[in-house]
Amino acid sequence: MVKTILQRILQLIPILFIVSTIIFVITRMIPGDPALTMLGPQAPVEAVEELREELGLNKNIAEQYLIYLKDLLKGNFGKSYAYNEPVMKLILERFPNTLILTAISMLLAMFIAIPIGIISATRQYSIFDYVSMIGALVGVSMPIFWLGLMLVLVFSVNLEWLPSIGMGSMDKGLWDVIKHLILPCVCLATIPAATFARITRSSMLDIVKQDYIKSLRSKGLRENIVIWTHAFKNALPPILTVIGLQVSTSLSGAILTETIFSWPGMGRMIVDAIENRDYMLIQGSILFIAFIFVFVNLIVDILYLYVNPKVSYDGEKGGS
Amino acid sequence: MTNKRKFLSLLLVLVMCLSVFAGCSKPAEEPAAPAEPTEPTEPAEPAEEPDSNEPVSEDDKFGGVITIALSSSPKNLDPIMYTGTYESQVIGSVADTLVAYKHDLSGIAPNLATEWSTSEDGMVYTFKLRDDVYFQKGDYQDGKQLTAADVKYALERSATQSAMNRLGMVDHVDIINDFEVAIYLKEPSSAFLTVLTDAGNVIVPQEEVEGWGDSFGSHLVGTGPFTLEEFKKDQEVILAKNENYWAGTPYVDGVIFKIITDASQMTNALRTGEIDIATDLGGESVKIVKDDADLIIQEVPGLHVAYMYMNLMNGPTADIKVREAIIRAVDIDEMVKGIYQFDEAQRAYLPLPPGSWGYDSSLESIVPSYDPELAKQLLTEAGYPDGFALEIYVSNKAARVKMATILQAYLKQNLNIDVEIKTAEWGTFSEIASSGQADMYGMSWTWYPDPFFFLNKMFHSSEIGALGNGQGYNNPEVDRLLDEALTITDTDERAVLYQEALKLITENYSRINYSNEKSIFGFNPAVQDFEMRADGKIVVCSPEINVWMK
Repeated sequence: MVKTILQRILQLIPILFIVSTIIFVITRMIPGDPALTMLGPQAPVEAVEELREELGLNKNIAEQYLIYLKDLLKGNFGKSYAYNEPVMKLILERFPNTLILTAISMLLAMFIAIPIGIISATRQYSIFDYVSMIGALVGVSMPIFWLGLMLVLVFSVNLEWLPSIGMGSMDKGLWDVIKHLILPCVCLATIPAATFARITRSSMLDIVKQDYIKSLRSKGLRENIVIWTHAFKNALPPILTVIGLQVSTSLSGAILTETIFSWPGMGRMIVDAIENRDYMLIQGSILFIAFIFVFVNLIVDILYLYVNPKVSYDGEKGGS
Repeated sequence: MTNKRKFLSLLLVLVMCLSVFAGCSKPAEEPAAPAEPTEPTEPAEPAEEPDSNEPVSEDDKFGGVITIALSSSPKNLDPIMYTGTYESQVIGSVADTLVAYKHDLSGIAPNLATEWSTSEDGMVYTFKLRDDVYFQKGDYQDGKQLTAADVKYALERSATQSAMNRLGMVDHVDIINDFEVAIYLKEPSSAFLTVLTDAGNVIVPQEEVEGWGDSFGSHLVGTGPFTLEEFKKDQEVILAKNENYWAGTPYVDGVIFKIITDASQMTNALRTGEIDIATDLGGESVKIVKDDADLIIQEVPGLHVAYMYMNLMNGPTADIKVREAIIRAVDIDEMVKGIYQFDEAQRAYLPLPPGSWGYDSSLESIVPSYDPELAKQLLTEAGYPDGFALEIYVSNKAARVKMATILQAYLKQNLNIDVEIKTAEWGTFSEIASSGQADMYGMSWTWYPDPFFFLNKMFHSSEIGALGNGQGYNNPEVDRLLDEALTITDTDERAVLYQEALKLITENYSRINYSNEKSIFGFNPAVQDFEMRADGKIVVCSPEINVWMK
């Protein structure tokens, strides 16, 4: 298993190299001159020219690429021009905020959706099944922006229970932090919860119809044990895949949720960086996200080995 | 079985997470406790504050924190690095300039400098400084007194290192004595005093700038009414009152600038009392705040012109007849009503806002009026009886897209010109527009009341290639008038020259000036004595203003 994991980690190197090249090319392909965009309409022509020089944009593209690669190899993500601060520092300021938001939303989504999915599968075509699957369909097709604004109108403006914007501060106590988390988390959890419920249900339905479940039942095993331990365990791989994808997507910055709730996370920073043509910050943060993405998927793959011994990445029988 | 054990441990982890979550969710079921806002940042319920005329004692005005929303995050508070208005709002509250605009923008007022004089040739400005100004305490100096050396350092730093080249006209600064400096210019510039009022030219102490290095942008220190306590990017900027402020003690204990990028959410936060002032309201938000009896809305005409440029270098619009035809084919009054459904702007005529001292209302009559028949005739004379096709570029701002859509309808209907609307986000838009590639482009301009910042930047041939003059306006006579106006210090004499230039520009039919957008803010009624300014600058405390909270 250790060998497998090491192999997977080594595979990350070419992936990240390719990603970094693609990012470089794409940022250079967006129309818009960084110097002109950052300084704004009122900048004098000579100031724009000076900045272009300073940013190294007058060098030819191959030279710019080599400098970029050399810096990356040294672990240097460069300096954001707009903030005049190292890109890594800016990322590390925002990433924990996105991590908190995503982690709690995903846990919320899992603990609501997975039991619903399992119960729906065991009671297929019951009222519970219909209601929860219609709910999931609504959830999965909900426009996040609309949902966020509705939540704010109801719970902040009308009921005055929860704050509408911002992130709480521990200086004002844990409750302040929690109450600022509730609306953004509910908003961000809606689509993943709906997706998890649907995939859990369909995955469980495949499993509970299989012969070994019947035989477990005929052995007189309690239904709860049959479902929650034996069936659920075998239904897990597809669920894990979907969770992995959702987690990595949200970690890259839940842009809409962060915008609605003025949450200072990665998503807003990246959108801002793109609007400003802050090349270093765009490159650095997208590379960081790419890394998070492959890292989460690596963890999912490892969990596969764990929950399903039939899965093996090195061709040997049995994974553990 | 190891697998079973592993699965059980996985389950255990899940249960652990569940219990954490359960712990979190518990208080959510008890909304009673936090329902009453108790934080000091949240002002008292506005509904319970009827308009009382009881006199308020001076002592009662002290206290409270005012929370102001900004629609975008400041990034770097180092005066020489800043590029946007959001930074300037914060910098202006923390640090001071030598001179400042009077609150009604009617002229330049003393600030850190008490008086100044200009040499005959307009090349040397001499300033006397206040002798009672101290810097805020910082990590690298202990609240030292401001002297001529600090002014020399800060202004020369801006002259040589500013990203925006704001003080490009300054050659060097001489210290005459501790409280007197002489600033030598490279060439006469009557816009110099106005430039000195810019947040980019605030006086900052050398010790702090050099001590913090690149992070000075997050640790700004100045002489202003508030000190920078915490700068949480994309979140909030927290300022606390400076007890040693030279122009008196601010009434409020602090100012919080909260970053709310979504316009509807800014309005919601104003309604919940999480913010006291919502800035730059527009569209539906104006109506919502107006309709809410618990809130106050205020507006001032902005120093703003929105306009549509026509390419003067290439294509059919290089012909003045075509341009006149296009201007005459659009009913601008109707267009403005269509774009600004909530009365967020007034109709404009000239490329200068009426609030500028160079404005001349007698020139409004030479702007071609709506006359579709004459328009059609002009276009035929120009050789396009069947119309032609054009592209108009606008940024993705709602008001600009609406303008382009209405324009498209008028030009199709009256001139059979097919307009294709190209919407782009700002970076793309500005590159295309400034390089003269657009047939037409729509944008707006807002700056100081000094006409230099409108006319020189948008009509001088030296600005061709910049966004201001991306249309390629090139009129040697206008260049001459604008250059001359820059060498004269007398405002009245300058105004005459600018009005002459304005007349020539208007007669060239170079563009459609259609609106002056208003600056509209929403307020919690607890905010007292806040006065909006046409330049949009937020002033909580200054020699003229001291805002307090009921």
